[in-house]
Amino acid sequence: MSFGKAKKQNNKIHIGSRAFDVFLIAFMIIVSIIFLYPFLNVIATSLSSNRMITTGQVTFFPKEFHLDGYKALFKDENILGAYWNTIVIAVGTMIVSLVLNSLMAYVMMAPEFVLRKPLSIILLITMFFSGGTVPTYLLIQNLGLYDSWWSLILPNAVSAYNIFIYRSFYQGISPEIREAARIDGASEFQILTKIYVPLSKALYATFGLFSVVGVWNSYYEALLYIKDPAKQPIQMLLRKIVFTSGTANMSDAQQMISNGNLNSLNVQYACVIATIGPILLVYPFIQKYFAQGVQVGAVKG
Amino acid sequence: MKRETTKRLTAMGMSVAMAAGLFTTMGTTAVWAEDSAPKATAADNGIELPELEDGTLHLEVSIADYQQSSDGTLVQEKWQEAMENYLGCKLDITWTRTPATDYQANELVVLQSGSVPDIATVTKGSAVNEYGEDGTLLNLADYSDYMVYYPEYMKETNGGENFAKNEDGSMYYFMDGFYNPDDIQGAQSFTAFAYRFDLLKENGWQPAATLDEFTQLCSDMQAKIDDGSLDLDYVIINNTKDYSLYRGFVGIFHTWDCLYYNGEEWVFGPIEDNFRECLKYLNSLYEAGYIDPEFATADFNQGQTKATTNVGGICPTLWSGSVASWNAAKTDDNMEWGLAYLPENTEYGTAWKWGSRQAAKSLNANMGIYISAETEHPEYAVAMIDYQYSDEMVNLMNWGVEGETYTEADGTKTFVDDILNDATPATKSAEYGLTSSSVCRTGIPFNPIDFNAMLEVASNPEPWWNAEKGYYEGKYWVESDANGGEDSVSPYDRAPVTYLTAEESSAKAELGYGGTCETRVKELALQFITGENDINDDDAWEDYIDDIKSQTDEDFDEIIETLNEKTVK
Amino acid sequence: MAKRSNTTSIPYAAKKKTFWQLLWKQKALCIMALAPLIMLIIFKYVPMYGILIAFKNYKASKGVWGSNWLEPVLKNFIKFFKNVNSGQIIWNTLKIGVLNLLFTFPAAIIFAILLNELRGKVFKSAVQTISYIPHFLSVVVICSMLNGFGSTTGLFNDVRDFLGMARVDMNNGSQYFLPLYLGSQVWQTVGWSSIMYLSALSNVDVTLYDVANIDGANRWQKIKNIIWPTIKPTTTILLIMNLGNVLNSDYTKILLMQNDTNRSQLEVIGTFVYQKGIVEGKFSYATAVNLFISVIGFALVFGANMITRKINPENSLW
Repeated sequence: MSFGKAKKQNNKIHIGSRAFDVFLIAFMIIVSIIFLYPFLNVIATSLSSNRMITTGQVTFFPKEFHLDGYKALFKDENILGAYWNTIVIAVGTMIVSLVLNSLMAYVMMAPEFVLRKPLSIILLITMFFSGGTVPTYLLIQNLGLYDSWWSLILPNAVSAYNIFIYRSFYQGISPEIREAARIDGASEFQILTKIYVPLSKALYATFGLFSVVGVWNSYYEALLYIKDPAKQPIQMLLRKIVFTSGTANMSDAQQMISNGNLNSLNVQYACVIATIGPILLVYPFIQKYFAQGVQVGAVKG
Repeated sequence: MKRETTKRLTAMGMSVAMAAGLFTTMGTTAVWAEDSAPKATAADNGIELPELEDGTLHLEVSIADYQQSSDGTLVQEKWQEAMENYLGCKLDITWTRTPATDYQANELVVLQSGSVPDIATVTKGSAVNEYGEDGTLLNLADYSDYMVYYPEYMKETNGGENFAKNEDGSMYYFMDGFYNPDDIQGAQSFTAFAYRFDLLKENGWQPAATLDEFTQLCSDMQAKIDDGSLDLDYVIINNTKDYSLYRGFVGIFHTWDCLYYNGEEWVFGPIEDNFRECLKYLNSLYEAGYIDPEFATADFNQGQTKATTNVGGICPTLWSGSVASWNAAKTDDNMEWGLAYLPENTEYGTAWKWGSRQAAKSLNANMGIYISAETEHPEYAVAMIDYQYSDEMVNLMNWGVEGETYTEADGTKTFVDDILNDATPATKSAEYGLTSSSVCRTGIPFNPIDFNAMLEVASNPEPWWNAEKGYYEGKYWVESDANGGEDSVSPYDRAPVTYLTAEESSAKAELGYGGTCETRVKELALQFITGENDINDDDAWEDYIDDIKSQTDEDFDEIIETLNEKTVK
Repeated sequence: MAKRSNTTSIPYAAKKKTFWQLLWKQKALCIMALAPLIMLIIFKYVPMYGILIAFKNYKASKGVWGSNWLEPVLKNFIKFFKNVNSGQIIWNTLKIGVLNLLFTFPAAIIFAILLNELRGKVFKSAVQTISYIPHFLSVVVICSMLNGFGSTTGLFNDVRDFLGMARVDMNNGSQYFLPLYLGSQVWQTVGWSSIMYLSALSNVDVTLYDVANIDGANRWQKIKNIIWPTIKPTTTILLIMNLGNVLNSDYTKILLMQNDTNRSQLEVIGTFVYQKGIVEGKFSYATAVNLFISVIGFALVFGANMITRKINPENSLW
């Protein structure tokens, strides 16, 4: 192969690659618009007048702009407290579940561990079979967790699904590192905390985000277990606000009493924004952990 | 601690401006007009309540909250005072308030867990009886010595005491009361067709009083749509896909779209010949091209858009209040939606309406209040709930305080201007804690609503039409009573008492609204309306009946037989 | 003494150790597993007795233990299979579940790879963030929009109109259900599910890129030889586990997309359980049908894992 030919080929790849880049960018822009449109419509609707919503004229931009939906939202003095509660619950859940799942995943990663298979099956069973609401409710009461945030944090802290994925991540880390550490006299626990955890930043960022979002969106458990309004998470409060705005159901007579300029969607969609907004702000902070090559050399090829 | 939470809640529940107003009224009981204020005491009623140790009744009460909490409102404060006065002790209630929609999801779990609060709201009706039988709930029949007012409601109800009690005489919850002083037997919804009044007036038409007139009107409208002189796409549109178009028509053919009591026995409406007639009629309208083809697929939001953007001229199946909300959202100034009572089919007479109110005092089995069997002072709890059914308490909770929220002249009560002149009287009256607002429930729900009070604040006038008065304004409940009259009260709304076991009730649910059979009917009936299946073909009709009957887990005919056997006539 | 020297010199002699001896040796691992295991037992296994109501004539008041056994014990299961619609329901569930997996699962992987190929940090991060938004919109909001888009005057029909096709009511019948359902599923899950793969991609050995560049490998070759092997373990694990969810279609979404023109064609086990359990209050029947799905899901995962173990033991669940 002559020098010139090789160069030519390289150029060809280069051009093909550039064309691909252009295509990719165009594709991603279109996809982003598709992802974004319903969200923009939700924002626009939350800010538009009853008339414009009812007659179906709202698309990308608010029409006959007003803020009544958001006023209804922030009229509730509890909203900041509820946000705070959710943050505490979310962070608590995140920490507890990351710790417990890591421990279990590490143990199950160890190829020599004798209980590996039985533990896997014990885990797998919990993915498919559950006792239902009432036995869990009774359990929470008997454990004295009722009306406490622990009732939201503990029951789902250990997740079989997550453990299996953690484990597959750990398996991506070269076993020689573990062997070497053991020869150096490190305990299993030290190997996990000093080697595996630092090498799995992306994993922890991902599952940290997942568990925070899971808590962020959930209300059903809080509805069952949290009695004290001062302890309620944000979703519970938002549901209440949507309900209080007076348009949530039509089951009772004359429920469709028109509320002047306020359309039920104003409040409902304002609540959607109140849910999504903070999470979108969090994301960029997590993103940096997805950078490639953080663990160069530590990972098997 | 509990006290503190309650107090803090009270503070949070009120806006600052309102709170200022409230505290002044609370301080000056002089405003409290002597004649209307509740002043009965249990002792005067001959009830002997046991002595309380510290003179205070401590209770945990879990209630369904409506759109506005009663916490901290004027009427709620008065309720507490009146209750303390009646029971002769201090009341220390720890409230748990859950929005009504969420309450329903929660209710059965709490009951199944067996640890229930002292007193709680019931929204699942007779489903709670099961928990009474096993001893979780108090058998109220054992404490009838402590009741004075509730028995009165039981007596006046259709079916009498049998209605409120179980077959063995037990009674595990107080049923939701309703007080209809003027005997307005109005209905909730699906009792009037909506028309574009502006178009009717413009073209010299009027809403249909009979079904033939209705057919004619559709045909006239279609002619004008076809020649381009009427700016509509279709004659008929539907409100939402969640309600089948036929729902507005079944009453005209004196049948029903699910299980119902026809005056003699329980029958499943959709397999009756009358129902077939109804479908034939709808099929003829569809074949003629009058009906918007999206009538079964457009959801509620789209239905609204269709109504307000000149898609259709008549909407036969709709919730009350829809017309008012369409008129509020119209973009075309001339547009005016209005209502007229269901047209009469001369073969059957006045059309039946759905969900009409009973005259005088009545009870509703779907909702109520239960008391825990474990409560420390059941005598007090029973006397307390019973007192909510007294005229003076009903007056307090619905009309409020004389001079403060209402005035009375010549025996007629009216709310004060502050409420009536508000943009939304319902919301305003809820700020005072009035139950009649329908958006707030004072005391322990569900307690009796005074229909007159409710009509004043919670029902918006909408445009109406009838043959005598022509075009006018009226309220749905009142007009559906006046225009339908006694004949329009369907036998279903006055069904006799039927005692069922839990299994029988769940078998019955298969035939009721939302049940397996009814959902199947919706799908198959649609095929008859659109002509996909021939309604005039007897074999097709037989197959349809077989299909419906095959849907149940138990034998279809047996379910209906059992119902009829267990009905107390 | 001799024995001990044996074990140290020949590691595989460990096989001769009894199970308990091994366990004692691995006590550190056992202790680490203890806390999560206890949590599992308390919060997952203790309430599991609730499943019994599938076999019982459940009286809430009597509780799970107190209620009588059904006669025959499998009555609820027999009832389900005797139901006139069960054949159709099972078929619908399978069809929707399998198609859903076929579309949403690869979509997330492809999207992750494409995102990874994207140059420009800011643009990339913007696209990523935007792609998660649908995950946060509730199914009610999405279905209400879908219903509007599919109506004759809706967005989808505007597109059809633009392309010279006739306007149709896409909400009518089941003809357009699958495209609408699957399309919106992909739309809703692709961004969020791709996070997992992006996270796996951070494990990629960047030195391999240098080697590939020197070899003059093109984009496709790099994807095939570097990126795919990196995410393959995660993909396998996720695929095995998602197989178990094939019968758990998103029933709220289907409920919302149902109308009188298509209801029976769209009936799936999830909607059936909702109808029986929530609408008609037949708890034990609903539990039985749920149990049936769980058993099948469990069997599917078990089977998939056995196959994986034969092909690629490293990526199996055990």
